[in-house]
Amino acid sequence: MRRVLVIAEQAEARVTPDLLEAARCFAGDAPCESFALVASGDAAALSGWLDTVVSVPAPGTGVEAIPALVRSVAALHREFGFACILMPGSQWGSMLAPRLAARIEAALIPEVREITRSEQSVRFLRRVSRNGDLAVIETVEGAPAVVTLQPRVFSSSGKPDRTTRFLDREGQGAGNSGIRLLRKTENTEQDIRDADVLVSAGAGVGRRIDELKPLADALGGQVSASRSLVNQGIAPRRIQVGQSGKTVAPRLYMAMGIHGASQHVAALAGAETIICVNTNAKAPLCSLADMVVVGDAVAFAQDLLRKIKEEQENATD
Amino acid sequence: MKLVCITKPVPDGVSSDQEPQVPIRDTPAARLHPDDASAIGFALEIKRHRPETQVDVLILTEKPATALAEDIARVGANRVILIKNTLYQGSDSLTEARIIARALEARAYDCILAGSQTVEGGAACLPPQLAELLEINHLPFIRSVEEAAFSATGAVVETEDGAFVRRYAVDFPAILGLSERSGYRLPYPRLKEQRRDVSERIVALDNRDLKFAPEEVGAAAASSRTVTLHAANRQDRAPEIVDADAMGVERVHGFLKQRGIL
Amino acid sequence: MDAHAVLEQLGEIVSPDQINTNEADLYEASADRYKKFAKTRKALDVPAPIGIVYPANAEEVSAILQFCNENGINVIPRAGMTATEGGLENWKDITLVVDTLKLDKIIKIDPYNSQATVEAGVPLQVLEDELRKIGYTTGHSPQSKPVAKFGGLVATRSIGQFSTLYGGIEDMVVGLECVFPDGHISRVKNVSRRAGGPDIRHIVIGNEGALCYITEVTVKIFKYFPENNKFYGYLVKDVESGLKVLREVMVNGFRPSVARVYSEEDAAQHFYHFHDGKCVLLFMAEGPKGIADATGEAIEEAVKTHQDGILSQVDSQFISDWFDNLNWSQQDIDDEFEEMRTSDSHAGYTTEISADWETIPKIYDAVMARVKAEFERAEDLTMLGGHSSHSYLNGTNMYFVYNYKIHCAPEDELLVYHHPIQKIIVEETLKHGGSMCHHHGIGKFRSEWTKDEHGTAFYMLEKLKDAFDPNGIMNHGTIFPADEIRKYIYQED
Repeated sequence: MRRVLVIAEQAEARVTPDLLEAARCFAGDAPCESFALVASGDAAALSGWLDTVVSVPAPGTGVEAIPALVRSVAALHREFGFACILMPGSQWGSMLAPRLAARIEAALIPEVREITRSEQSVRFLRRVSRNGDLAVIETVEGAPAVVTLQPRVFSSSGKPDRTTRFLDREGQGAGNSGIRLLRKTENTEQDIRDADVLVSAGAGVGRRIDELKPLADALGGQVSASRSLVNQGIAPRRIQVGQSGKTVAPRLYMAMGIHGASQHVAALAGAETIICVNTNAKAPLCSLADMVVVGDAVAFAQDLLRKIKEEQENATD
Repeated sequence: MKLVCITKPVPDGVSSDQEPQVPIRDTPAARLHPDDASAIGFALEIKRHRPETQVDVLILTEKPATALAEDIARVGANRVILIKNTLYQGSDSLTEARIIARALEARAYDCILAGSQTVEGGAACLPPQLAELLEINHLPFIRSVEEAAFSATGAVVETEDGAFVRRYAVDFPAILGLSERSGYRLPYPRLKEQRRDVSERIVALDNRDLKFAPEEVGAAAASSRTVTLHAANRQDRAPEIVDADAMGVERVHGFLKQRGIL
Repeated sequence: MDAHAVLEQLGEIVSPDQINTNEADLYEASADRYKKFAKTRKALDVPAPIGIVYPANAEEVSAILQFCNENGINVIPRAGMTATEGGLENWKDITLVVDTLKLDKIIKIDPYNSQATVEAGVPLQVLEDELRKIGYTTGHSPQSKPVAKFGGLVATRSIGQFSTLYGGIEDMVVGLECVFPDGHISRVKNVSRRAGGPDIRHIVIGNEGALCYITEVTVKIFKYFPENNKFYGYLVKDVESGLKVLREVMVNGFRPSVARVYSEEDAAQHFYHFHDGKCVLLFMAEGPKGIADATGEAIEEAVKTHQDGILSQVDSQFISDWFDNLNWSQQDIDDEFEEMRTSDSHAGYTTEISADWETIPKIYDAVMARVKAEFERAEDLTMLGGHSSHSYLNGTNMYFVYNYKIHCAPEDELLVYHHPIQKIIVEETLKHGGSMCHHHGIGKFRSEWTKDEHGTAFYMLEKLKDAFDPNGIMNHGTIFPADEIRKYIYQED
């Protein structure tokens, strides 16, 4: 029987629903035994979600523990022979996965956004260029796959209906790993280049830029701005999208009242989906959008936020 | 102190601060990823303050890169090692890591410097895989290095992700992955410098030196393959136009759900 | 005389607050937009001027110039600072920049006689704003309008986006006042026309500060009818097809205020929202209703006549929207600097030339072919194209535009990238009989070809320099080739 392993980010100390969903996609309809590795975390919380939960002690929760964790997973892989090992596409996952793939000689498939199983094979869809080109990847015969998931693309549909067995395994080397965390501070000036979602204000928003923040928060994103707002002193240059600002590649770019000078558009080539909200449907940027909303950007942002909140409340009822 | 920078040239036009490339002539030169350029720039900056520092730059390349290697030598690298062999074409990152690991076998180093990201904007896979093969630490996304505390035994660095800034002490040997955001730049040699002969500082390695069997490298050794490629083309999209009313909100909400953003 | 002594003696001519020796300002004054990349990267290879002087009237200018003339001090006249060809770059160790900062008064707006008189330091935008209040316009709208000042506009023979209707600055200046190195102040009076010998206005207009210093200008003003503006846009097969329509409209006697054709590459950067990979032809008809309507009809007719080359018509709102976002403000210029400071690439280098209708397409094709074949860094070009934007009865201009990634030291950017491309454009233009500078002037970076530009007529130009500036103190290296070309362009030791 095929076996799939999910590894949760230690700092988060839980297996997130998207990992479970990805594991389900990997299994498809065929019989598949699902495993989770919990490194110094709460194994009991996973009861019912997977067939097997393995606990190992870890020398830490951050990057300093990665080499030891790689050895633990490799030992587990020797024992169970996983066909696929899944982990989040966070910075932590993107450091763990390549090392693990090197250790167990697996195919490394980063930032996967879709997994489809057919009779013969499993295929992984991932983005392969900054302008949004996608590729379908297969592993060669017999090679296990080490996969990181693009954040927020897999959403869970399963239930905790399994009988879970719990195993404990020895840790593989702790002690001084050679990396010590000295200080951790909140990144108060998050870089818009790192954002998955940007809600971006242009001249049509002007001084009301702060009113976009709640929508950006609800979408898990950040607020950015066009050059005109930076020039007017309304927004700082560090959040400016454009040739003299930053080149961005978010999954979603919501252009709120942005006309779309070519210097702005040049910095947007990597944006996957663009929604323009503008009173002028003939604003140049609208020509590049997937969707154009004709109307006042701030009012629309508030309406959309209300809708999102309503849905969320209904979902939790 | 011995620093080794590793890099693999990329097609031009990948700097995150550049406009999309519209090539006029189809002979793109080998260029460095801006993160890699920062890594080399940092090593040369250390050498500028401490001239006894040995900076070797190792370039794994499929395209001609002699001009690039010479430029790096002219701005201060002690040696530039070019690894070029058609046998290695189509290698995956693990195979490339193995090639570099073998090239490093005969070389002493305190710290290996690399970039953090790939051309596509994802995390670079080669440096962590090399770290695993060499059994040393790897720390990427470095946005600043304490230059004064940088020594043959370790460094103090700051990394950045979306939510946090972290400060680490790292013992050497280790691989440090720099980010373009560190602000280090690889200088260009002046025009008049370009006449200076630096050939004695360029070392070319190929498979006669590294001795891989054909099945160990190239596409033959890759453990995954691309089945199909879907090219994105924004210009061809016809946008859906809605009004900013209740229906428009409904439609956008549905669209965001469909795209997995909500 | 050393710098200290110069400044000391200058202090006896003007008051201390009229002399600026702030280091950052002097660095800023060392070069103009030609070496903008090196300038942003703090890598300029030219000396800084020793001071910037702000005379308050023609008499002070006269005293300053006399002092400099007697002591062999190089003078760079300056106003607005939007020069692109090195006209404001300094090539001498002892140089004073004489700036129009304090010559900032609008002297008279005279709608009855359709003329306005301003001091040389009045920004074009300021006069334009005043005129709009009474329903008039200068008719002059270079991209630099928000920043440029009258002294600079006249000294460089500037042109605006609506020139096809209103003409270049030379068609607008009716009279002026200027000061020569020996201190002589000349006033050319304001009349409707004259036949009193050669038109001496043209010794001053376009002198680029190499002959005299302009202190006052009187220009024509025009009634403004924006409500009648009509916009037309078309996608066309190629540059030549577009040029044919431009010519048709012009030779039939019509003068749209804007008549432009863009190459595919240039269209892509300006009109990404509708260019569809094609060349773009656009017009604006302006003026009293009858004229605007007739001009509009003539445009439509010309398009019909040459419909073989027309692919489709463009929504006219796209064209009018675009005009609303065309000018460069000081903020745009600051922004461009910010971009160059942080990234090794830049957009928007240009070289503008002119020729007759028949020759322009030949020059365009020859330049494109040569740059692609010969330019060593062709792979770094991210854009190479051009547009025609100012048309005349007998011909038009071509504005070559090139963007590139900069893979060299900032000090070398000019010699590695800009200069070789500009050289090809100038050589091809001169070879085909065109003019190498349509409206940016010669500055310092095209001075090596001034003799080729003028041929046997260079004799006249040279005599003017000998007569008015015998000691060669006026903007050394501008228009008239100087030895420093070897050092500051070709980097020869």
